[in-house]
Amino acid sequence: MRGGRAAWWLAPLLAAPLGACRPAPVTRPSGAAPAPTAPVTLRVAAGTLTVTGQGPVTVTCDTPAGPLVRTLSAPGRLPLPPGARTCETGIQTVAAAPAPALGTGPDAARDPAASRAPGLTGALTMTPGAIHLSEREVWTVTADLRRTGGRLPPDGTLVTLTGRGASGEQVQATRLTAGGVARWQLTPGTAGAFTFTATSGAWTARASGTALSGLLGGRPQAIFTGQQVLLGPLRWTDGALPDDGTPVDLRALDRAGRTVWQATVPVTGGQVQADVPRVPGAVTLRAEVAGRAVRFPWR
Amino acid sequence: MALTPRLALGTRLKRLAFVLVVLAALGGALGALLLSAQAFGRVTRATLQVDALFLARRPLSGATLRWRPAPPGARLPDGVTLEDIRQAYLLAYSELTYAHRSGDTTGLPGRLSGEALRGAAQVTTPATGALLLDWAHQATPLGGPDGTFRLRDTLWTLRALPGPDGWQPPVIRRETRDVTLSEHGGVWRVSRWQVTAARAVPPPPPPPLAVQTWQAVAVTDWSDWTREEWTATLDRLTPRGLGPLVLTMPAVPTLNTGRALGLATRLARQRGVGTVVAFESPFTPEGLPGRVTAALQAGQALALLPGPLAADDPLTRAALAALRAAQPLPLVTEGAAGPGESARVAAAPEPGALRRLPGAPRLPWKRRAYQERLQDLPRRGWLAPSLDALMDGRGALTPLGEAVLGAPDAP
Repeated sequence: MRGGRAAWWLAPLLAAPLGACRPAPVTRPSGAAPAPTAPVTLRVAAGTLTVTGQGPVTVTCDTPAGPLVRTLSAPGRLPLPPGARTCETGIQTVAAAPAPALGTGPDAARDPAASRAPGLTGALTMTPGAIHLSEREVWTVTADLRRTGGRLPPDGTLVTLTGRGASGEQVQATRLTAGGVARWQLTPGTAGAFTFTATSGAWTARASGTALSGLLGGRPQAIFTGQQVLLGPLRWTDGALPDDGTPVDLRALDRAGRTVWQATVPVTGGQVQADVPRVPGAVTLRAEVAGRAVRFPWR
Repeated sequence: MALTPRLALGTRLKRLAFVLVVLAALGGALGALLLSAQAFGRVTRATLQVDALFLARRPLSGATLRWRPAPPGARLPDGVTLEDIRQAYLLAYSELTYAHRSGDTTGLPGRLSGEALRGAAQVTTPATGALLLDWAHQATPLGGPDGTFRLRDTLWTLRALPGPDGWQPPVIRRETRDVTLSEHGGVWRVSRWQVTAARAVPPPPPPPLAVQTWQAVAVTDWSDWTREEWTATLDRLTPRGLGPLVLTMPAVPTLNTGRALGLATRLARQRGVGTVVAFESPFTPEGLPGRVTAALQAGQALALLPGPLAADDPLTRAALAALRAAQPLPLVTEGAAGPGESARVAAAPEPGALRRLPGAPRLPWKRRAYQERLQDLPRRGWLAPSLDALMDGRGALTPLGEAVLGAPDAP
């Protein structure tokens, strides 16, 4: 009798943790839209999907990068990603673009990023302002973005950075924001002033910096014998030897200044020793290290 | 008057010793408990860390790309660059698959650029949780000006969206894509892609397969086998007329695995022995590209064992149908959903199914039950776990070999 009563007491005690450990019922965003009260219609024009009708509706579009799923709480417009083929609501399917039109030419007229992230503000910063070439220094370019209300833009907003140096060096790289920040780490290969432009939708910002040569004495000491070129000893302004493997660019130029021969040789122990072939038409040999060049007439 | 018996000194010492022994035992037990708790904690932490590492890694893609001949006049880069382009193109798909499943889009700019990147970023934020798979790419290189490369690819894709209970019905189709890749800083990225044609391919009816006549033997760890090792294995099979040879795929297939599959199938065919490609890991939709790749590499094999079905849901069934459509080998299934395929593997007796033979037990007290199980084994229509389970190195039969290959008992 006593044992039976104890069992009655124990039963809820045992059942409570078991019940507590049961997983909560899973609620996922349903793929099928809740039945709208008025018929929903889809229309595509100029890369934008227009949804008319009533009630929340889930639109699924077929794109080369996988399905685009958006739930619209009210009728509205939805910018379509490039290359979208069809869009559907579960009831209706529309072709987003006729296939032949997709196959021809780039369609750069529309930019979904612009319509997706309206009214961005922000700053583009670049540290340090000047760096010394080949001395393990990198530029960190940071784009810090806010929406006009001061809120953060959604993570994954695309920011494209384009840069150009004084001697024609170019870079283009795209990053996605996280917490409103997109960051690039860059190492220039040539000396001179660099200008960087970051764009995201309608927002554009500029920053600039200078790449300097850190070579002691400004000009590498060099000897050219006609067959062999010797550079060095090379030192940075702080007295250190360059890292082994720092590239030195050798070029043979003809009378018009065109490159007829080119090689990249590494620095070893602060010195470079390289054999140069006899190139027909070459009148000048140019050796460049860390943005500083030295020229020799060919003998 | 209470009588308190005086205890002798010896008895007291015995009691003291008893108490000490009990206390020492209790202390030892407590110490062991604490030690094992610490060890358990450490093992759990290590497992968690390993899991986290696997989460952080991109899953390996089983997809392959085969180049078709280029049209005359196309400007093609050298072979190394072409291999770079192949890798970059396939990695773009696997990165996109990862971004859809995980919602982590940080890797997309490394694989995609320009218009393709814009589209991918728009599609993957917010995360869809969709399953995207691609396999069996066949691309025609079209070349292009410096720094760009165009190709036309015919591939299989699967896309499934999460639904209220599991997955919505998947879309499995054969697509043709026009793709442009561009190179920047030595890295090739997909800059533009467009699906120009897409069609669903209905799976063919499963071809009949006579597994009742098989005396199949499985081999494992063969990825690095040389021609001599294959010949030696086949030499042990042929005197007793065993076959086909079941090539059990390793958990992580490598480049060598693909080569070994082709070599083994060719050598076995020369000796009149069939081969079968078998997977041991459960068949899930994610495993589909790897299965198709292995089946295409094995080419002339008799059948494919895609592994036990992990679950009997619509997505797995659709993936199984896609597996039948995407590669030529008949399927031998195992586990949940059986009907609809060429044959089945079963551990218990079942008419028309391939019987999986039991392996010899390691524990001595299980030997008697094992001997009894050997009594009712069929003479044909079975799959042995290994060649050594049937016979030793000199060809003498083991008890299992005696049961299925020995001379029939004279009545």
